[in-house]
Amino acid sequence: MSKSSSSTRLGDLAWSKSPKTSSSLFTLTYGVLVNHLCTSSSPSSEVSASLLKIGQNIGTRLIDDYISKTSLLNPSGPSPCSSFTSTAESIAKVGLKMFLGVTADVRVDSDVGYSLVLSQNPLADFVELPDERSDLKYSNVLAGCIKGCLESVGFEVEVEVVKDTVWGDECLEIKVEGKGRRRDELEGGFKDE
Amino acid sequence: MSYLSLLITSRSGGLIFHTPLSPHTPPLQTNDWLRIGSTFHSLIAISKTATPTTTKEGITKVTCDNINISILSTPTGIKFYLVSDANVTNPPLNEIYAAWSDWVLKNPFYEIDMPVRGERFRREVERICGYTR
Repeated sequence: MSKSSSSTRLGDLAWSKSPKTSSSLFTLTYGVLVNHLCTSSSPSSEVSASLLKIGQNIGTRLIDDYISKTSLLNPSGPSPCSSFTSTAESIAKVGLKMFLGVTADVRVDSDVGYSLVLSQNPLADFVELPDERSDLKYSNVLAGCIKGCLESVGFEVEVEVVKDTVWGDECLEIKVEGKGRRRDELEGGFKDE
Repeated sequence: MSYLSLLITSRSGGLIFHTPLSPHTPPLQTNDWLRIGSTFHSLIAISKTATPTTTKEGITKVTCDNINISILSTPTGIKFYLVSDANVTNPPLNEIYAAWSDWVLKNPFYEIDMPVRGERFRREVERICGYTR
């Protein structure tokens, strides 16, 4: 419980220090990006995959921002991303707050999986999906971002948007499933399997 | 003079950035810097592997008679090496890491794990370390 509130405090602090932009500018810019991917008449599954890939590329860059800024704000804190289960709390209370200004609730599904539940979707303020795009994973960039972040620190994961407000669900739910720890070739090496 | 130079290696061990931080920094060739950078990367890997207990950080500091080398290994595998006078107690490695995340990684034209070409990060490092050319 205390860990949770310290994460919340750290998230609030990081949010107060990070530069802000207009939420309309942000959601519209993202909307234009998604719409641009959709215009090339590619099926929704391809657009969703592109969004995941874009998110992954963002995640591999943002993870260093997250680690460096949180260790500056909380120098005596635990070393970040040390275990898979601790990443849930870090993403939900600190990471999402720092970059999007929202927090998520964590639902632990198993030893190797958790779901992040956001009561609001910051990407989809004005979005209504047309019928022919009803299966589009509009918020897949978030899933990709989380995947990119976790893979950069050595966790192999599958991340999926399972509920989304643009599909008429009451929340945005992102499922994170651990697939194991990637050992760095050199640093984990020299050991017999 | 309190800081001498900064080196950064990528997750695969290649030198991706180096800059002098003092007029007293030895004028080495780029190839020499490359060799020094990858040597450190390997030494840290060995230090992590050779320890009987699990260590997360490996080598964090090298102490010599009149200089120190402070090392920050990030969870993403990038390593920062700051060479300084022996009397420097609080090397600003975390500030440099934060500047890296801002001025290098947020540049859309920077490719991950490639050498850094931009000047803004270098200027920011010089500001943090109080070096004016």
